[in-house]
Amino acid sequence: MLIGLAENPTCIECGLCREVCPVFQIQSQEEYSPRGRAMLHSAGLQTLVFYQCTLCRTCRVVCPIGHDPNGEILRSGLIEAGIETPANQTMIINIRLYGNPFGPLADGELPKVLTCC
Amino acid sequence: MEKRLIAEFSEIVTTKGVLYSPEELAVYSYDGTFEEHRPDLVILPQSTEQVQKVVKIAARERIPVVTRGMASGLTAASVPFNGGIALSMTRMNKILEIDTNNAIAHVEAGVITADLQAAVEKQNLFYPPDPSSIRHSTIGGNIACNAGGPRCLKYGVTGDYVLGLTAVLADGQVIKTGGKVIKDVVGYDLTALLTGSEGTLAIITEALLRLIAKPKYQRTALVEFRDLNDAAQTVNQILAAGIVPATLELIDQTAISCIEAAMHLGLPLDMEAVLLIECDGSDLETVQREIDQIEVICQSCGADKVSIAKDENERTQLWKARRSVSPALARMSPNKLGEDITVPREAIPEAIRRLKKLSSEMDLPIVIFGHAGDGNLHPNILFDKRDPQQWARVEQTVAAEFQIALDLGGTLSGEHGVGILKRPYIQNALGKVSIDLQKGIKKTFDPLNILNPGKIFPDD
Repeated sequence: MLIGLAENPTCIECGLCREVCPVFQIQSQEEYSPRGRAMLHSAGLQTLVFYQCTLCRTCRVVCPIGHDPNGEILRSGLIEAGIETPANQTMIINIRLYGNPFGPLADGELPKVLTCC
Repeated sequence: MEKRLIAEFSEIVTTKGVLYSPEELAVYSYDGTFEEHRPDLVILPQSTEQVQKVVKIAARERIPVVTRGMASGLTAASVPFNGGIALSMTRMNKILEIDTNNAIAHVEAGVITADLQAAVEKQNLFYPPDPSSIRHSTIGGNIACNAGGPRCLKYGVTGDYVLGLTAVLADGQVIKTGGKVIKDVVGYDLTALLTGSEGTLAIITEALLRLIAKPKYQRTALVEFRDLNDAAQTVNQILAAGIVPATLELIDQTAISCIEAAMHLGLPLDMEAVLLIECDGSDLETVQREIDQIEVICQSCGADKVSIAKDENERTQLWKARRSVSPALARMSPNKLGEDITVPREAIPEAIRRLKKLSSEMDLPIVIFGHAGDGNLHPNILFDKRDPQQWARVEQTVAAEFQIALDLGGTLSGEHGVGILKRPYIQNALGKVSIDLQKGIKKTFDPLNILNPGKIFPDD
């Protein structure tokens, strides 16, 4: 029985999510933790740190109130605000210009670099 | 923060160790409480020398330095209310040595407590202190707040395991206290003084921790009571029988229903209280005999049901449930205020009676759980801060809770510390003589008042 984000818009700051977040396990810095993202979101700050999330949503499973500071919702806010990573911008431009995310390709040529966020 | 200072700090800890964008400052502005204030700069040092250099500049420029580990504290002790530097110790996370011959671990302050435990348990050693935040709090933070936990009933608190500290003083000098010796009576016990000082006296960078042999066997019982008073009485009956379980935890009905809603463990919802009791030791027969005796005592005290965990999985589930009580309460109301009053264990039943009475007088739900065996209770007031009338009653209730603890010969905090939240109440607990003396100690250690200023003691 998890309560949706709509019912629990506020992080209670307990920090339990940091025990399971795979990104935080590696980075050990608050801004890469689900609690950090939730707090940034509630402070109205838009940051590319929101991309440092695997979207696994394990944080939501352990969150005692079912809060969900997942990257998807936060990223949609970034896109609305026009904040994008350079790699994403390149990818979008490439799709517009060449119909693929990789850039100009000769006939039959395979892309060498996979551009990702 | 001025650019020249940022440049100077960057030279010490590299540009990666200095954070100052609005997002970065925002995430170092809070701990486990609802209090918030942004620092002017975040510094992530990687060695005692770096901390030394940072503090020297801070002293020269009179910049407050607020040390933090993983920011899971419950008193806002690591929230930088005066701005300045948030000194995050998370990059000093090396276990420097596990000395199996002396059973001592030498660690940096930023080591996560559960990581240390896992490492020493591989060597068949044991570091017992187990605050609920064990997997997301650091040794340095545990020492700075003298953290407790369920197992403290049998094994003692964090401070009982600190043999020596390396710390940076307010002028940048390094002090080493204690050492790899069990007995040490040369000079004042500065190790004990720094333990629990909440970053106001010095910055702890390394610690020598005493380890013990790992207990091989555990038996865990969940005991259900229809009457909360019976549960409270049982605690004393068990201890009076000469049994010291590793843990003796009490969880009341509201807390049970919160855990059950979050975890579906099949906990009894119609009981007023449960006790979670664990015995451990290196001899299976003794452990089994103790848990059997406990079962008999519980039944004679009016327990409705005693169930003993069948396997490690069941035991883990029970403990997971206990660890999640505090956060799970957030399901009940928009806000909660958890205290950790401590009373002599004989007074536990009376403390619970008075807290229940207070709850109905103030018309605010108070959930009670905690380490009943050592008299450390966590009454949590549930409320909605948006309602100013409720908030006013909460403030009265907190003051009354503290008064109950003091009247029964107890004190304000057993393991969370004072930080900022209990600051207004410590005069009552300690008295003027003690507070003046302690303020003098603070002044001796930190004449410029740059180390975590404004914490613990009320302003003059």
